[in-house]
Amino acid sequence: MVRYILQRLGQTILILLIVSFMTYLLVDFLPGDPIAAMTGGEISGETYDRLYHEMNMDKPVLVRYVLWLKDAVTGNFGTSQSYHMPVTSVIAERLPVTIYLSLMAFFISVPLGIVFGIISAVRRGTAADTVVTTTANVCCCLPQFWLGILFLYLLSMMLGWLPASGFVWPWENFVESVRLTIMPLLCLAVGGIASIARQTRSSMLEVIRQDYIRTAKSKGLKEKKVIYVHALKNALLPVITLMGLRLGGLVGGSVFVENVFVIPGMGSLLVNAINSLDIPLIQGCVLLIAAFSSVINLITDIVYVIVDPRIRVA
Amino acid sequence: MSHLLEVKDLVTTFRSDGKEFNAIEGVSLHLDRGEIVGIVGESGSGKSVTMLSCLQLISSPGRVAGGDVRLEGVEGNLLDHDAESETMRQVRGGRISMIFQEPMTSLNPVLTVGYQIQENLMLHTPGISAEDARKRTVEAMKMVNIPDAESRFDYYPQQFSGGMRQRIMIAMAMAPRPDILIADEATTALDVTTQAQLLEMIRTIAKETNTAVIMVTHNLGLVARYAERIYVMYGGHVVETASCRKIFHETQHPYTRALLRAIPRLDDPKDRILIPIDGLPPVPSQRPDYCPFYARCEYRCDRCKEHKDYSMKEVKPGHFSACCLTEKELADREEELKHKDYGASPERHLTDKDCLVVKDVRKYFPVYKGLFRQKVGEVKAIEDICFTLKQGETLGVVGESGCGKTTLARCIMRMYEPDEGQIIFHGEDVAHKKDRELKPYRPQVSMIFQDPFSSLDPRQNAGSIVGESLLIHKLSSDRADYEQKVDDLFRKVGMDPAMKDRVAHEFSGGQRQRIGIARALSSNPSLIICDEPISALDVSIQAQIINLLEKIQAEMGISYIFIAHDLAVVKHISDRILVMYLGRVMEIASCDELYENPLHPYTQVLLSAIPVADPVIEEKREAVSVQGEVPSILKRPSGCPFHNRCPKCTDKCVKETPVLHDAGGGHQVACHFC
Repeated sequence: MVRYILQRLGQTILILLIVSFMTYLLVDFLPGDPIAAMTGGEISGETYDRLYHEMNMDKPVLVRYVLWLKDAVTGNFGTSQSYHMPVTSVIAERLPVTIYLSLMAFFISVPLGIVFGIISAVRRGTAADTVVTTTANVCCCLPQFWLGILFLYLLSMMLGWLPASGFVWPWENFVESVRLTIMPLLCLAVGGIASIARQTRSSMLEVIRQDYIRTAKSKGLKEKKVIYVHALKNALLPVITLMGLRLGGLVGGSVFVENVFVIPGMGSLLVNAINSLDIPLIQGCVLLIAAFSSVINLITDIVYVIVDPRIRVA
Repeated sequence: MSHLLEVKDLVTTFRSDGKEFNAIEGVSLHLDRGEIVGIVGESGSGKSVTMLSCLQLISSPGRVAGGDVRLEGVEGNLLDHDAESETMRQVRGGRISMIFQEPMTSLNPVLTVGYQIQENLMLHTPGISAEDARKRTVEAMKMVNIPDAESRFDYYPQQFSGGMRQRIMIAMAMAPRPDILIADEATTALDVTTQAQLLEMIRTIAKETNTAVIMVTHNLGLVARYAERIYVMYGGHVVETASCRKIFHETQHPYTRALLRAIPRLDDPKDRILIPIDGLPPVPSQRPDYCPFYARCEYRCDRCKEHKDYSMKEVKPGHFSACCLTEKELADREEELKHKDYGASPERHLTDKDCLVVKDVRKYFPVYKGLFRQKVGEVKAIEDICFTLKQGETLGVVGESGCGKTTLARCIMRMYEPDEGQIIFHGEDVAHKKDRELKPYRPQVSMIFQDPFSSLDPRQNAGSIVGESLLIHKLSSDRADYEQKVDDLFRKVGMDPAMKDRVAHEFSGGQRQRIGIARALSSNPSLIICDEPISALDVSIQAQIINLLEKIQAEMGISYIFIAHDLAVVKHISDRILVMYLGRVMEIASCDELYENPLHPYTQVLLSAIPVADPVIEEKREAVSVQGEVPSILKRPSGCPFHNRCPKCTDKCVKETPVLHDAGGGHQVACHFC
């Protein structure tokens, strides 16, 4: 098991290297001049040349990447050109907000998704099933930014029930915090609830047909026990994969929602960084999101091994 | 007289395509304490549905439409209780336990076996403490001979072999000490020696605890050996019931009679012809309102169609049959049938020419592991395989799962290249030829596969499946010649060429296997390898296919290698039999010699494990028991592979691998003592 985890960590590092190199290349291909973007363009030719040299713009992209990498492995991700602060501290300021929102959305969507999934599987073919399945199918394909704009229009602009934008931590002002996070959380969670419900439903239906469920019934177990002890544990295995994917995607996915609701998180930070061609900041953000996704994937796989004895003993 | 379990006029319906039809119609049966009752029938005859209906385990779209099920000690009709009611749940598992067919899927993979046994126990033993339950669980596991029961309590089902899992199922079913145990094809998926061990064990446990057992199976041999009373089912009805002896020796119902004539038996004389039952069992939705067997019955008369009440009548004391014909009529007809010409056993053309000589063939498969896929070991699939096959002869290959039968077939087909050895076909060694050099060899050998459902391309029509190798090997001169040849092949296997535009799913299992045979014949081969060609078919269809294979062999002088695990079928069709165990040849002998005088201890065990569909002979047979299960091929014991299960094992057997040698008269055996 330890060996397996070490092996996977090695793979993760390889992935991060590839991701960082690809982003470095991509940013280099972007049109625009990072120095002009940083200074606003009103500088003398001399200063320009000095900055050009200081930022290693005169060297080939590969060399620049290696230089960046050298610093990065020591924990120095450079200085953000638009915030004039070390990249690490800029990110440290924004990251907790995104993680807070992501985890909240995750913990809302998982239990709700599973419960809806079970209800529609157990009551297959009834009105409850039809409602859950149809709603889930519709919600699965709603884009987050569109949902966000719709909520904004309905709940704040037309009805005026909720404030349109901003973010406050719950320990600063609880009521305000709840009012501010309702809409972004809904946007983030709806897709998750829908897809988890769909997955739970289909894998429950699959499991209910299995021979061991018939065995459990032939023992005289109560219907509830058959479902919650014998069926659910098997049915949740594919759902775990999906949960991992959702959680890994939430941080990256917050880009849209944070922009719509003007929340100072990683998503809006990344958008700003790209707009201002802030290469060190882009690198830092992308790398962090990639690392986050990889770690979540690793955790998912470990959870899988713990939950499914078939993998453990094989 | 009141019985332990009494079922009367049970009707269960299924809904499909908006129409309701009866899966079983008015089934009545009873069971007394401690007796072993067999229910036999083909697939779709309603035997499992009957059992599930009694326990109200029928799931949608099926429902129990009527009937009366009474269990001693339970007030009123069981069917009047709700499926989820306390009473019904106490009956299920507590009073009536059930073991199912598939040991691999019938246990929950994410719960430990201990938990699953204990759960059943605690559910039906009020007031038992967790400690006692654990203790009794371990006892139950010991009762079914699971070694190290204590430490295996926390194992998961996938850590056990199929036979072991079925033992756990039995432990689970027996733990709450039920009055009735239903074994629904409980051993069908297992190897014959394991099957014999388990059924012997069920019988012992049942007799010790005075538990009544209902054996649901399609295997007439099994009920002949184990059952005391038998119900024969056909088309959703019980058609005949009597004591085991009477069913086999004073057979009444035409269906039972036909069935007994259609199955090959281990003690058959060589020239016995199987008399197949024509046609197919009726689909439940198109069942007539008179006798369901009418269309296939050789005894039918016009009166049968008018006789709508298809319930059983007592024809002799304790012997019930649903046939409306009188005993006189049946006997008269039987006499007529005796003189009916079913065609003699086809004339064979055995030649002295060697068709195939296999010498010391060995095939190992490498096992790769790790990041760089290094070779870490070998699966020693087959080694030192030697045999010869004459042109026109049939060699049966028998052995339990994992013994390398299929690997051998694929080596001969040259789908695999053997690591070592010679495969001499008509004087030419093909064992190590390159693909291109094999081109002339390919059309001369073909194969018939086990599963008629997955071995035909679902998107290709039957005509092009059959004709494909004509095109590959350029065996037809033009379009008209091709069509002509395909039509001939269809006729040869007894099918109408008009059907050649249909696709696989439009055919029944028997018809598909006929298409498989036509495909094998298309390149005009001189050797056909039949890999379990009938084991997926119903008993009444098996005889049709066996007869067809024999007829084709007689007409075309083809040699067969007939691979199967059913020794009775192999014995019926083969001239000589090769017995394999864990990748090695144990014994080769002619059919009669092998049956009369088996030399190798493994062959003796194998023969004894196969029941004969005749209770009188069964009683006389001597049981040779064997310990343990077939080990995995990865853990083949040193020396003689059978030594760890062999009663005669000595040091020599452990150290030295016995060589196949002639024990006289062409009877070859690989044992130090023969």
